[in-house]
Amino acid sequence: MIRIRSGAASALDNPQLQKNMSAVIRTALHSRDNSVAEVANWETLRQYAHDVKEHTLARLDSYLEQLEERVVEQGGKVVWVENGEEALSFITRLAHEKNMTKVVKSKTMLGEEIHLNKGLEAAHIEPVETDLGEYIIQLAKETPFHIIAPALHKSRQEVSDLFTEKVNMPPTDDVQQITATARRILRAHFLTARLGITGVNFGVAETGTLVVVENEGNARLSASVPEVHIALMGIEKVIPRAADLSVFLKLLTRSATGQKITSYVNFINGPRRPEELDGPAEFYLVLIDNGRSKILADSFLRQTLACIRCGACLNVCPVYQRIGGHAYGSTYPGPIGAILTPQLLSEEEAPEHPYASSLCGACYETCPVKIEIPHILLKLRERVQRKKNDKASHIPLEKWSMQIWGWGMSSSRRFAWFARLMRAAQGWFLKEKGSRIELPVLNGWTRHRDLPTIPKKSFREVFKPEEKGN
Amino acid sequence: MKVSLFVTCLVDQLFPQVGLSAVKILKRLGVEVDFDPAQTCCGQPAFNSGYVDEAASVARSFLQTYKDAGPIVVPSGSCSTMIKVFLPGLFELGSAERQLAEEIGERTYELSYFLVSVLGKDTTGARFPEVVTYHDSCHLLRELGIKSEPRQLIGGVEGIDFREMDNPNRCCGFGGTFSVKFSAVSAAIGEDKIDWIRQSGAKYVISNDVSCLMHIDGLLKRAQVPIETMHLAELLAQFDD
Amino acid sequence: MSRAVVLEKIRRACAASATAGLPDEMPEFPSYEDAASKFRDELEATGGIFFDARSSDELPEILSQILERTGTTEFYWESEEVFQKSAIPYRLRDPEAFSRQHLVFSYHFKGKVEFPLVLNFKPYDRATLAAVPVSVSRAPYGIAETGTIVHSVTPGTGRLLSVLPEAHVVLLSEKDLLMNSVEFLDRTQLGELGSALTLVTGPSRTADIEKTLVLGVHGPRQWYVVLTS
Repeated sequence: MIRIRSGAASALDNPQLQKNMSAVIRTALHSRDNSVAEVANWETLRQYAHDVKEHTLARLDSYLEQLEERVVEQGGKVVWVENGEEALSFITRLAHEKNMTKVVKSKTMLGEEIHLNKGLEAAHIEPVETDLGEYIIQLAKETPFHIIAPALHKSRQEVSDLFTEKVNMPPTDDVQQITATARRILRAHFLTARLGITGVNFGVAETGTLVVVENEGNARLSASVPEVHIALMGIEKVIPRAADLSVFLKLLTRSATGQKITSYVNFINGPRRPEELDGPAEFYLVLIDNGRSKILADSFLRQTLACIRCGACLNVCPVYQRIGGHAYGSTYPGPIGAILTPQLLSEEEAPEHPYASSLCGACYETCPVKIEIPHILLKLRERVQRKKNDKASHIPLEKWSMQIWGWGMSSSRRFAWFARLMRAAQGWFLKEKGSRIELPVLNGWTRHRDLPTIPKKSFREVFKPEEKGN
Repeated sequence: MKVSLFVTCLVDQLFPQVGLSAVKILKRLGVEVDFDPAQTCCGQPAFNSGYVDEAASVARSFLQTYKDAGPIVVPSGSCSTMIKVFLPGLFELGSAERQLAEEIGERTYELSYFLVSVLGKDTTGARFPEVVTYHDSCHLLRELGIKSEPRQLIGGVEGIDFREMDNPNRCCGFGGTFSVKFSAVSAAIGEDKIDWIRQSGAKYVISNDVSCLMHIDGLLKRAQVPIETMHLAELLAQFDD
Repeated sequence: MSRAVVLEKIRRACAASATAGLPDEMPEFPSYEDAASKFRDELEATGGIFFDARSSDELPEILSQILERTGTTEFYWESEEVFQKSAIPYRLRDPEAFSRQHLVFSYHFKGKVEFPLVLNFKPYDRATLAAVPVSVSRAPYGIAETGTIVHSVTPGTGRLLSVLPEAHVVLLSEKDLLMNSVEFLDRTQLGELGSALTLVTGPSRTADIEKTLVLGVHGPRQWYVVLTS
């Protein structure tokens, strides 16, 4: 079972982390806001993308088949897998058959989701992360802190120390120099690896095009230099028409980094063709379900799959801003992680995720495809409680108090009685214990804040005489 | 015009002066106010925690109380949201309760919206010569889209010095049971809010929800910051009868 | 085997989903009176370097400047078609040896470019490619809205020549400058322009450390665009 609370506590108690995060997230927020403000018809674009996704998800089977057909026509192969193990066994078997011992990888959250690196290492295949942020994370043996900025939480000094320790870089606080070191090391890997793995941002059904969006050029290289290119794609990433890419790309890059477009938007249409001088001889598209079809089955929760992984909801979330990505303990952090994780896994495995939110709604406001994250969180909270009900052999305290509360609040007589009880308790407490009320059951509140003082009389008690006076 | 005031359970028990202020304002603007003592709560605490059955049982009692009432005025963004946005969803599509809930939702108004958009008033004749700032409560702002009305009303207070804080629309961190379940996170988020409130130079922070204000006030008091919280209704009621 | 299982799960999940059709009115994308200057502004904002060779016959001078900035004496050309389509006078040093499987390069004594270019050949292999300092290709389209170049892999070219070198030069004809990506996707059937097509906007970049911008991570550090008439 994944717990968030303890991770959150240690994140809050880490001043270095708090410092690293706050400046960087503030920058990201400003870039996104300024970039979005330039687009007069942003709301129209959001609605358009939302509608395309909604339509596509309802017809996902036929669009995936169309995508498959087009990819195959262009000489690619399509592999459908139910889960991470199947994906891994396909990849490792292929690599072993071809005596490939190293993989150059570009950033793929789906790869993280299926624990690709661990699986490759277990099969004695060396995974090399080539995105700078991912490379840092790999050297540090950590997981991505953010879905588009994996090493967001590390200061340049921390990265420099890491490079000095792991790849013998002379100590420096110059980011240029750190980057140059990574370029030199990773270029050597690019030129020797025979297998490249990338993710996919959009799979275009009508043309069989796999779109990979990036800034560094490492995805372009991963898809071009090795003999074999494997693209990992979640089944939800298909879109029907190429023309709609204009809308999706604009929404994605402006939301993600505030860029009008990224340095590279790669459109892959299968392996190299006979008249081309290079490029992979073989191209595989691996379509991965891994719990997505389960999400698809609920017509309300289905919209979770519309996510284009821009990461904007993380930046704008007050909870993520304070606890960061690792506290979530799941592949996907932040608001999207809070709704995706319990659905990909199960409510029992991630029972705290739907609760790790103040329901402020900033995520929905920011989401470029208008996923109703707060409402989904509420629905998932309901599911968590219902599942607890199914299982509970004893009645937990919270459930018990909610039942009493529900009973009390369903009648104004009982409500008034509770209120009197509360006043009596306060009176006793203040007399016995002095001014500040501290009780174990109220710890959640009083550890950080003072309690309001309950007034002598409630509104209903003071209102009545006035009403009579009318 | 006659309205029914749903004061909310928190106002009723902990912040009666907010309810009294709402009554005072409405009366001054010529609105007759009815208070039905059968009212308790809208069901939000249970609903937001995932206890939908418990929420529905409280919601049923709410529906019974207001089924024959006229317009309902609520001095809270989050309770208005519960009633207008979420309550119908607690009942089966097509059921009589669902229909009633939708109908009641339509005639439920958050106080500032009611004053500005229904009554067409942007002043209550209040006078408050102090420096104030305003915190947008999340449900009011994002579920109901109410942003300008409270500001209009604050602007209509005589002698007031209104200073917008940085990030007025950023959550204060309260979040209902979130404030207890993720207490430390909630407080940390609130500390950012406190910073922005302080930087605004205001002596009073105004909002439309006593729940946010209770959280902000608790943090301010704990940090011994001499800034007062005040519900918008209390501000608007700063006039002599 | 899993194909059937996965598809069946999806089919069942989608069954009986009522849905509206795809939206048919594409949201508006901007157009510009002076597309070239918008293109230039955007391109420069991303760290690209723009040369305007539309009005005068300054191409040799511009290319000389690029050689000076990159500190090299050789250009590696994507294909012979670049010269034909860009109307650059050239001759083959050894026409007998000409083959598509070669890297075409021109050597410029003291970094001075003169037309006609004299073209030499090197084998098209990874080791040679990895050592290329500056490559030149021709873009089928440019996009004004974002200062973007469309890079395609056409017959007789490859994917690597434009991405491995430290510097990349793009020749774009003004008539191929489009307003926005909608125009580009209207005009192009993806897949018809080779197996790999890339929208390139600026040099390779990263902001992975403290959101600090660094140019030239894996792809070219310097990126030049020459607009021709």
